[in-house]
Amino acid sequence: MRSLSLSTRRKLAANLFVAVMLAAWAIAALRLPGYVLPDPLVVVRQALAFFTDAKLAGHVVASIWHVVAALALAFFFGTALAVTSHYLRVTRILIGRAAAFLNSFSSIGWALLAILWFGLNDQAVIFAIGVVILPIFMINMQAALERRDAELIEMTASFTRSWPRGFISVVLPSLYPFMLATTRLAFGVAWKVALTAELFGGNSGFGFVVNIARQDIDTPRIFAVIAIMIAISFLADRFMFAPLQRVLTRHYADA
Amino acid sequence: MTADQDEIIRFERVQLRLGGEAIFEDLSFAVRRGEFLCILGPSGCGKSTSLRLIGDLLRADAGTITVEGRDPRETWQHLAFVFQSPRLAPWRTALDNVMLGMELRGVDVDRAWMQAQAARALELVGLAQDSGKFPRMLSGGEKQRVALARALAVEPQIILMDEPFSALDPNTRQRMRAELIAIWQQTGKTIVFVTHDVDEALMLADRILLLSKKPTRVIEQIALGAPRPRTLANDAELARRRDELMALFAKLEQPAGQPDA
Repeated sequence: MRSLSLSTRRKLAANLFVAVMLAAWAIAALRLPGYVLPDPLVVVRQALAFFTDAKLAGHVVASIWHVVAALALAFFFGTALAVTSHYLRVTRILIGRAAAFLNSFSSIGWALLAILWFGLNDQAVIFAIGVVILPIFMINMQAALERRDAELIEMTASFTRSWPRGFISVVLPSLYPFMLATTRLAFGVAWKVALTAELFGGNSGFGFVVNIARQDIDTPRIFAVIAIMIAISFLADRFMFAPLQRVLTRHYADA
Repeated sequence: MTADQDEIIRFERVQLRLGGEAIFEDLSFAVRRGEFLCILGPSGCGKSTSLRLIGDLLRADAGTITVEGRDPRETWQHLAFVFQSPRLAPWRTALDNVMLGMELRGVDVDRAWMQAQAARALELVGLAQDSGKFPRMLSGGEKQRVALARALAVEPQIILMDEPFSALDPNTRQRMRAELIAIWQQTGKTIVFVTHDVDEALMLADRILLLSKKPTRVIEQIALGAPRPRTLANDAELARRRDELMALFAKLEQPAGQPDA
């Protein structure tokens, strides 16, 4: 073990911990009824079915669509509101209070309201997810705008009196790392909210599947949904957000 | 003060208060076209503030400031700043940073022309080979050269330089001064250069404006006729000026209430 590097040892320890947990789960599943704790292999088979069965795969696509659409809308409106409150001082208090309100209201409350306003459909789910992650963008982008490099901004002012030109050429690019970090954070939250929103207001997606499985006491399917959601979050973070964050931080960090 | 045909910048009885403190109560001076003027003064006396007033980044409370005979609000496009720190966009290459100045100014020409203009400016500051490098790949002196190229590329009448070499090591500073003089002689721009380094002012200036502590006024104006490149060690006149300025400066930097040495 001594010849192994610290990071390799840490990875080994983490993998060992996962293996021990899986083994403990398998042993516990032997002693408990399937509807309480299913066998891990049954869960794996159920999870694979989501990628082989067209109907189930449709639910995976629906959930991804809900999350991506809500992220896009929250990103656009949240950033726009943060920019408005930063540059139009008169709107600052209003938008600040809106962010505080949105941040404190529960996702279940939004899901129920979304059903009343939109019915049981995709729009209701996208709205419920979007409105929960909207304050994340509003608050983080506002903080990013407050922390802009004052020297770079003064340099910009010395070359131009055109606000759009300065904003597009200097301010916006300097916000890219913050935008990605916020999207990364909101992505994780969006998946958590998606299950609730689809459970209450959806006719497709993982939440809908969980709702049906709950009625059928199909615990392996619920476990499979949880496993797939964790896998999607982990893979997106590991192979999309983390590398992008590294590139952006290196490229857009201080000179 | 009476207006001179050759004047490009004029301060007349300028007053400015910032944060309740009087920075200028009666500041008057003028800069001639094509002149290399050094503004010298103790820390916090408002040297950089005077540049911001010229560049319309700040407005005076009273008095008159004119640039080319007009209000700075109408002439900001005729000047360019080089700040104490290079203030480069980290996500842009050296060439793109030089182009940024032109983009911001809204130079109404095609991109190829801007690229050629930026390349010429980088060549002038000796960075033609490094145009594709990002700021993180450049040394402190090279970054400051990019900032100078960015200012030159917009073809200003006046370049306002705010202690641009103060963060550099002594050797680089020395080299940059010589290069700046060469560029100034080549381009004929008016340069207003703020510094608190007496030697730097003596090496560079046609004229030195010595400012007092706040509320700031002009204590002395020193015209320097020594040919360039200058070396303080071999020029008796410059050495005498240096001693005078050092003595004055020591008095200015002295905390209030402390007796003269």
